[in-house]
This record gives sequence, C-alpha cells and structure tokens, in this order.
Amino acid sequence: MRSVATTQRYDTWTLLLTFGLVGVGIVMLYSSSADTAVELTGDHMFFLKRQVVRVLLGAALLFICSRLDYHHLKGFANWLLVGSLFLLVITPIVHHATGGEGAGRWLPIGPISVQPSDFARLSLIIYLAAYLDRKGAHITHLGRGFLPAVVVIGCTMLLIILEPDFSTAALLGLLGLTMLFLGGVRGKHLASLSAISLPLLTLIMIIKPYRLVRIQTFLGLIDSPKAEYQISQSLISLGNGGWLGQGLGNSVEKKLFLPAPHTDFVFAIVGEELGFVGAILLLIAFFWLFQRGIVIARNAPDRFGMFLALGIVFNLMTYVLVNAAVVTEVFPNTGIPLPLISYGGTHMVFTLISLGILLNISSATRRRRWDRNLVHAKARS
Amino acid sequence: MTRLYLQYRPRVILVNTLVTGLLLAVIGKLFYVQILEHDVYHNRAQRQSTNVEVLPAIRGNIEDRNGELLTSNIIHYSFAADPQVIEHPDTLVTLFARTFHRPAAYYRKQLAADRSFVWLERNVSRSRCGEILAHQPQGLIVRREVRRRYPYGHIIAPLVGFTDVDGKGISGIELEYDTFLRGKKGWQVLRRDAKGRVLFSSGDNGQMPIHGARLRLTIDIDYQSIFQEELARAYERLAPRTIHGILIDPRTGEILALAQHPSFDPNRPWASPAADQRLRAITDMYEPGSTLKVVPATAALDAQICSPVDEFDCENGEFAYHSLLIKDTFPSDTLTFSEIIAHSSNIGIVKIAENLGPDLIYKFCYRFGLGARAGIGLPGESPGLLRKPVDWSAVSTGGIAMGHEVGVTTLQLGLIYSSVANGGQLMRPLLVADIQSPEGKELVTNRPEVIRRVASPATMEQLRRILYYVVEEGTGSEARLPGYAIAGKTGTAQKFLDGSYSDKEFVATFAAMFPADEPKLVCLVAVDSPKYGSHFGSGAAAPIVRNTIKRILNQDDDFYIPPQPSQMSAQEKLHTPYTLATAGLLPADTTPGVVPDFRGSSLRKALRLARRAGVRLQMEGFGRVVRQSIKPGTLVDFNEVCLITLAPESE
Repeated sequence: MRSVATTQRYDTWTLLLTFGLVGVGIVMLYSSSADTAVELTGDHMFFLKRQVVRVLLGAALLFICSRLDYHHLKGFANWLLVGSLFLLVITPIVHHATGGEGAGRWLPIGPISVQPSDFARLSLIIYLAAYLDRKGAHITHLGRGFLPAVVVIGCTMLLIILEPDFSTAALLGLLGLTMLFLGGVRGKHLASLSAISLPLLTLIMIIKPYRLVRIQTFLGLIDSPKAEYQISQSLISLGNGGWLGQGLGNSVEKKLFLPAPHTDFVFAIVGEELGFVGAILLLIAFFWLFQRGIVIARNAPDRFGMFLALGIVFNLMTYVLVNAAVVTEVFPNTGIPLPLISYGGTHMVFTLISLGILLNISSATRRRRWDRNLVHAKARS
Repeated sequence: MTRLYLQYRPRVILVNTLVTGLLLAVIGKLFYVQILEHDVYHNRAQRQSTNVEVLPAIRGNIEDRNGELLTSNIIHYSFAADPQVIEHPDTLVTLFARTFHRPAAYYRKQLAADRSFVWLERNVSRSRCGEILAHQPQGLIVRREVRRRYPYGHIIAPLVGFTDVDGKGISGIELEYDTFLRGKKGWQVLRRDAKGRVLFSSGDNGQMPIHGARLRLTIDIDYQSIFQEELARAYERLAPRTIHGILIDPRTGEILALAQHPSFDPNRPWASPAADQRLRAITDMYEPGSTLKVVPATAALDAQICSPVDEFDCENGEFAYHSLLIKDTFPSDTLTFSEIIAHSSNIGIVKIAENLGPDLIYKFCYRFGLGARAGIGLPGESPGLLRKPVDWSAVSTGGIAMGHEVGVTTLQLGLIYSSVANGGQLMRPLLVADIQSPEGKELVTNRPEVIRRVASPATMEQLRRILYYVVEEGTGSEARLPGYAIAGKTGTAQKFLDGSYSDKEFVATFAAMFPADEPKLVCLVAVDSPKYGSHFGSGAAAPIVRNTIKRILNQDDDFYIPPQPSQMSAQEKLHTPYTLATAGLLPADTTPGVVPDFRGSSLRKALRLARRAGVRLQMEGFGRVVRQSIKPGTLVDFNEVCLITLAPESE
C-alpha cells in the first residue's frame, strides 16, 4: 500500500501530458522555426537552442514548484500581485526610457527580457484563489466580495492594456471573471458588470485602428490585404495538411509564406505537417490536461487548491482554444501563443511553473486519499 | 470528489461545457479547412510554393550531306530581377552598367518598379555577359534562351528557311520539318520560398525534354556555296530580276544545291522582301523555251518516228505555222534532227512535233512530269502547267515543242534533264537524306525512288550525244570546258506579259549534265529578264553553268583527275618551266600553277605558299587553315582565287 501510494504521488496523466506536449512542442518549434531562423540569423537552430534553455529552466522550476507545498503561496498571494503590478507599471517606463518603440510588453532584466503580463497572470490566479478561499460564501456580497476582486482584475487589465496588449488583457479579464464565477459570485453581479464593461472594452478596442481593421476584416466588412494575408496563409497551411499532413518537416508554408510560423501560428504548421489527425490529437491532449485539472480540483484538499487548479487549467485551455480559434479563423486575428508549443520564454516558463503547482495540488490530493486509506486500515485493524 | 467541490460543481460543469463547445467549434472548422477544403488549399499552397520551369528542347540541327551544320543553336542570356529581393541594388546596377555600357540610371529606374519581375537585359550572347554569369548577385534571374543561327546565311537561306523568336519554323525546311526539328519541351517543378528563391527541384514529377531530331539534307554545302557565288557573280554582270538554279545527282534524284540570287539573311529575315525568301526553283513557274525541246526530241526518238540523222527543211529561217510566223535565230536551209537540237531551230522542232502529233507530245510531257508536283516535300511547290490536248489550239503542238504554252519550275526542268542523264528514269527529287533522333535512331531514311520510266536508255543515250554536240558545236558552246565532256541545252523564252510575248524580257535557261557519257551531275540555271549583256540562254546562263562545274571539278574527288607528272610525255616535260620549285629549291608542294595544300598551315605560311604557287588567297576566320575551296594539286590559272577557312587550333 505504501509503495503504491508513493509512486502515485503526482497525477500521472498531468505529468505525462505536460512532458509529452513539451516534447512535441520542441520538435514542432524546430520544424517551424528553422527557415525563419536561417532567414534572420543564418543559424537554423537559433530558436531551438533558446527554447531548449527555457524549457530546461521551466522544467527545473516545475520540479521545484511540485515539491513546494502550494499552501505557502497563499501567504505570498498579495505580495505576488503587488510585485507583478509593479513590474507592469515600470515596464512601459523602462521601455520608453531606453528609447524603445511600439508595444512595451517586454522588461529587460540583464541579458534576457521577460513579459510581465505572464507573471501577472499567474499572480492573479494565485491571488484570486486565495481571495475566494478567504471570502468563502461572502463572495456573493457585492461590496465585500465581488467588487474588490473586480477592481484588482480591472487594474491588472488596465496596466496590460496600456502596454498595449489588448488580447492578453482580455484573456486575463475572462480568466478573472471565470474564476469569480466558479467561486460563486452572483449571476446578476456578473451580468451588470458585463453590461457596464462591454461598451467600455469595445471603445478601448476600437481606439487603436489596427484592432478595428482586424475585426472588420474578420467580419468581412473591409478588404485589408495585409491583415488578411497571415490568416489566409494560415488556412492554406492547415488545408494543405489534409488528413495526415505533409509529413514532419515538409511544410511549405513555413518557407516564409506564413508570418510567425513558430510563435502565434505554430498550430497551423502542426496542422500542415501532421494533418487533421495530428492537430486533433494535440487539441485533445490539451483538453485531456484540462480535464485532469478539473479532476485534481475535484479532489483538492481545500478551497485554495481547488480554485488554484481550476484557474491554472482554465487559463491554459483558454490560451489553447483562442490560439486554435485564431489560426482556424474562428476568432479574429490576435497575437496569442500556443502554450508549451509556441516560441516564447516567459510564457513557457510560467506555464511550466503553473503546471508544477498543479502537480503539487494533485500530490496533496493523493496524500490525503492515502491518509484516509491508512485511517480505514487502522480502523479495520 | 470532496464535499467542498460539490457546491461548485454545477458552475464547473457549465464552464467545462463552454470550453468543450468552443473546442468542438475549432475542431469543426479544422475539419472543414483540412478535409473538406483540402484540395482548394492544397492547390493554393502548391501554386504559391512552386515554379514550373520549362525545360526547352534544343531544336534539331540541319546538316548538309556531309554533316556540315547549316544551323546552330546559340545560347543567349536574358537577365531579370525581382526588385523586392535584390539585396544590394547598387552593386547590381554598377555591375550591369559596367558590363552593358548603359547608364546606371536606366537600371536604377527598372529596379525602382513596384513589380516582382523586371527585365534588365534581354538576349545577350555569352561573350557579352562578362562577369555577371560568374557571380550572379542575389535576386538576379537568369534565363537561358536558345537562338537559332544560320552560319551559312544567305547561301542556303530560301531552302533551309528560318524560325521565329520562339524557335518555331516559319519557312523552308524549318517549317516543313518543324515537328521533327522542334522536339518536345520538358518541365520540372521547383519548390520556392515566399521570396521567390528556388529551394530545390521537387524531383517527383517533371518531364525531361526530348530534343529535336537531326535532319540531314542531300545538299552539298560546298556545291551550294560555289553555285550561290556564281549566281551572285552573274547577277552583277546581267542585272536580271532574279537568277536561280539547281544541281541534281541524276542517278538518285538527290538535290545537291538549290541556289538563288537575290537571297536573304535568315538571321535577319525581316530585313528582306518576302519575294526573296521564297524558293524560286520550286515555287516559280515559267515558260522554259528551248530547254524543253528535249521533250519532243525524246518522243521522236523513243517512238522511233525520227532518227538523229533525218533531215528537215528549215525554210531559211521563216516559217508560217498556221497563224504564227516562226523565226530561227540562225536561218538554215536543211538541218538534221541533231542539228535542229544543236542550233535550237524552232522551225525544225515544230516540224518534228507536227510529225509526232499532239497526243505523243502530251504523253511525253506527262511522262516527264510536267503539270504535276514532283513531291519534293516543301511548302509552296508549284505543279507547273500542262493543259490537256483537248484544250489545245492549232499551234499548241508546235508551241509546246518550243517550250511555250506550258509552265515548268526549275525543279521540274532539272528532273527532266536528270532523266535524260540517267537513262530515262524520272526520279523523285530527294532533299532530305535522313532524320535521326538525338539518340541516333533513324526516324526517316529516304532512298532514291523512280517515279516512272520516261524513255529507253538507248533513246536517252542518243539524246545525250546530241546534247553533247550542243555544247561542243551548237548554241551551248559557252559552256564548254576544255578537256571535259559536257552535254547541255540552251533556252531563251520570251516572257508572256500582259497578254503577249515580250521582246524585251526573256527567261534565259541552260541545262547541263556532266560528264556527258555517264552524267553524275545535272546543273540548271534560269535567269529571269537579264538587263545587260546577252539575254540568250547561251550568253547569259551557260557561262554560269560552266564556271560552276569547273569549280566543282576542281573541288571534288568524284570528278577530280589529278595531274600526274610521271605520266607526262617528254614533250610536256620539256615545256614545264624551269623554276625554283622544279629545280628542287622550293618545297615540292609549291609548284607554280598547282594549288598547294594549305591545310594545317598558319596564315603566314599559307600566304607564302600561295605567293610561290601563284594563287591568290581569300580568307575567313583566324587560326590555322581547315578548309580550302580548291583542292590541293589542282592546276589553276595564274592568280586564281582560292578561298581558305581558318579556325582556332583547339576546335
């Protein structure tokens, strides 16, 4: 009994799926990035090498997080949120101070640059999990339960919108509200909030002309060759795949036809090289990970662990689905990475950290069940 | 499941359902794009990521009977660029401006265009490309294009014809045998990236080109060159409208030369009038005049109605033939059959024809192939004109015997004389000896073909003797070549212009065969409306034939009779001038009056040899001598011109 319990410490499916997806991710990253890498740097492994370093770093952090009792996070929750908000505030300042142009989504720390929004997202999940745990049934209260959380979510969103990174902010808002919804807030609170914030969000969205163009292009209202090009290449890439794909490495779209083949549109290359079957299997793997997350939440020993697990897997699945929806033109074009597959350091590292926390929650669950079994055994004896 | 979870479960299930729904939507879209619309997107991917490159088939070459190339395919280069891909436009502009001596601004303007393909230079020969081909800058598109060149230029242009810029046959052999010559294009699929750079040949599909077949003519380009040159020279002397001729091997019907002047430059066909581009020997029909007298003569001899010694009253040069007054150039009292031919008496031949009657005349005209295409297999061949006896007038029998009221082409006339020469067989004219595929497979092999027997060999031998007499003593004496037996016949036809026979414009013809006893060569020349000098076949056409035959004699082993000093009589040895050479003080190969062997020598040495031998040189090319127009050892007049061709040693 004891030996069985120790080998079952972590949720096996979560572990296998995580590393399976990371493995597939590295293969697909190399396949999709090699031509772009040659074009930009002359080294076909340029992106691969960097991604491997991040995966190794992420795997180490995953290991650490899975060993640290997640309950410690409850105490850090406020500080993590404050820290990430601070980073979000200073990022544009540093960006402009160093004479950067365009979107200030990156914060240079020494030789590397990180995306504070990824940190903020994990912080918010932890914070909201702790908040929901603390409030318990009081979450239904407007002034003491619902609004303070909305303000925190709104502030984080605002800072990310100012970077500007509207789609990340929108997904963060969706994540926050979903967690509140799961946490038991009243439906009419959420409905009122939606009624107020949707016009506001729409306004923010159409302030920037390029977003309006993307939306209009998506709706077929205008003809914008540039906005259409990427998505049409994405569809060609997917469609070229057919049932079983062109075979690993045989994508023609990655030969510079499809922009960003190794970041936001890596899923299109997956579809082209591994076909419909490969693309579906990848989606199912993520979906299965999501279901494992719900199982872990279901068996979590406490409310904090439950909401943490739900937040982590919901966030992961949202990214996967929105990315796939953009690539398949179900949603308008926006820059969302595919977790564990797309090139991008911060996102990879924080995704692996969050999965480490998830594993830790699962191990707590198992331990508890094992304890219970032990109690039963003792009782019988 | 914990009890804690149960209270949140409905909301988790709701969220889970929404997530699953979105997943299904994405999967549905994936199915639509990847499976249902696969063909559409696959085609679009193929279209944008591949270039189909046409692999041109190299057009087959046309050769003369000895394999000398009458055509060649020169590779030209065209340069284009994709301005969006060019990485260092300035380098490219400088390179092009330096190589092609155009202002740099021109190329800069081209590269500024908002297109993905602009021409920079087109159709440049390799030698002009300079260093561009050696290191092609990024983004430069180089196209190889094969251009047809005709090294013999106007010499054989109307026969060989020419092609358009796309390498399609437009006239002559190039047109008629286009299907053989052009081959079949191949293609290959090249993968390319979004910037248009070719990545690799996709290899799995494609088609290698099938190159064009090699076509060997029966033409001997040496004879052709000589003939063409003699025609051109005569053109200077006579200033006719046109002048053309044919050389046939009577034994086989092979056409050895088909020359005409004015001709045109097939490398620049647009610069010449279309009239000069047609092959007059097969397209132009005319009334031949006296050269056709061999037809009634053959009829008379073959039907044994006359013998060569029968005498006819030639009426002292004027004879009223029905409504016509017939005159002879040389009035005579009585002439034998042979003399009538030899002196080309119109009155005599009319009387012979009247003896034969219209049916026999028609029968032999028909047998000799008048009024029917000989089947040379070239576009525009004229069948000539021969009416049926029912359509003839009272004077037609005599008129046709004199070579009027019928239309013939030079080819038909040549074949008539060939059948006289070969003992009475009308041969199918041969122009294409064989056609070989690039792998050496024989696609077409033409063998000599007899159309029909015209008359018995004995008849033709009698006739040849008479024709030899024409040259030795009669109207054809201008064609005499001392020491050689040539048979021939003159003809001078008034042209039928505006409803009556002109007394200013004539067609002068001369047909000859050589050697007279067993002819190997039939040569026919037609001069249309000579302006200066003689307008007669004897004065205008015969010398051309003589000069041509003389030069061929000197050139060709078949006819060559080498001088053999050892067999010289003592008398001749006495008369051999005492020179440095005969005294053994000069190399034996430089006997004065004997063409030395220039081949293999440098130009300097060739000039020295020529000076000693008393031969004038005309040269073309550079390097060492590879050809000479007069055979070594040929006895020539002092200061005869010998054409030598030089070529670099490596080739």
